[in-house]
Amino acid sequence: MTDQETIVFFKCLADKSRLAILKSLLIEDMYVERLAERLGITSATISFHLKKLEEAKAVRSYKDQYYTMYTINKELFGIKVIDILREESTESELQKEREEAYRKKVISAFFEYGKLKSIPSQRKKERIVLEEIAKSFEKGKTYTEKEVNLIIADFNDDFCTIRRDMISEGILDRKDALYTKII
Amino acid sequence: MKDKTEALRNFIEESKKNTQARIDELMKDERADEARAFRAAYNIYDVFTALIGASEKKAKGDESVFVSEFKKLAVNIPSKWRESLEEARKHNDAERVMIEEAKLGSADAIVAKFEELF
Repeated sequence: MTDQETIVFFKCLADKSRLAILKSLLIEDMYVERLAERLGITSATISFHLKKLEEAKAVRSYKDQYYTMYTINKELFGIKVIDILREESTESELQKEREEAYRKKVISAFFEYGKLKSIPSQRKKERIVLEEIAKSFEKGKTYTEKEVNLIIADFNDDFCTIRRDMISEGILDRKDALYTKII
Repeated sequence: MKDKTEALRNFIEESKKNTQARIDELMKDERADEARAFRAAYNIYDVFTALIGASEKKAKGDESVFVSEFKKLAVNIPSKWRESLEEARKHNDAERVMIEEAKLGSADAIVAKFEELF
């Protein structure tokens, strides 16, 4: 586990409801409504906690007929705390973690339900946003301008600005009115 | 009309106290995330207190005007929260669902009390 993953994991456990959910899942795998009934908490609240637990990799979900079942990640809980503390992160790993955390923060701030709320004015942040949009393009495939506009418009109405900036940032290349993804 | 608006205000104050008690209980119980949802619900009470004031001002003592003004506001404002809740459900945004459900819970309880009184 990286330091960041360790912090997320332990922060996630520092909640009485989430501990109660984990204790329930130790008995058997359960779905949301079953946990809600067992713990006397609303389904919405259980879903919220399960999402946090999944992000921390403390639980996993799987489909069982009509239900989404949740199961405790026994491998993770089998790790000794002292072994987690013994792990050392290199400076490059720490730097990577910091960059990833910053990237997630920017994406969270500027995207809502997959839509870009506004184009950041800061170049560094805009680059992150453009790279996120670029994930919708296949590398090496050529696109017409109309296709590019349609893909970008799915994120934000100002596809002209975004398309232009993706070219100036070296994310898309334009040649003979055709576009390809470079990064 | 004055007795009824007084009763409605008292109901809101009582609900506020109960919600604050619930928030304190959850925090003591190491359930900070759930306390946050109740804090969002707590803020709704001040919103509705302001709605009562705004409706009283327009009504100038006329109960039927007060009822129609309050009903208009009490439907319009929570409708945005309902839209937000639907959007959150559509996108499996569990945190937003939890918070919007808590807010609407408070709003619906106040409207139910209003309908009981008027």
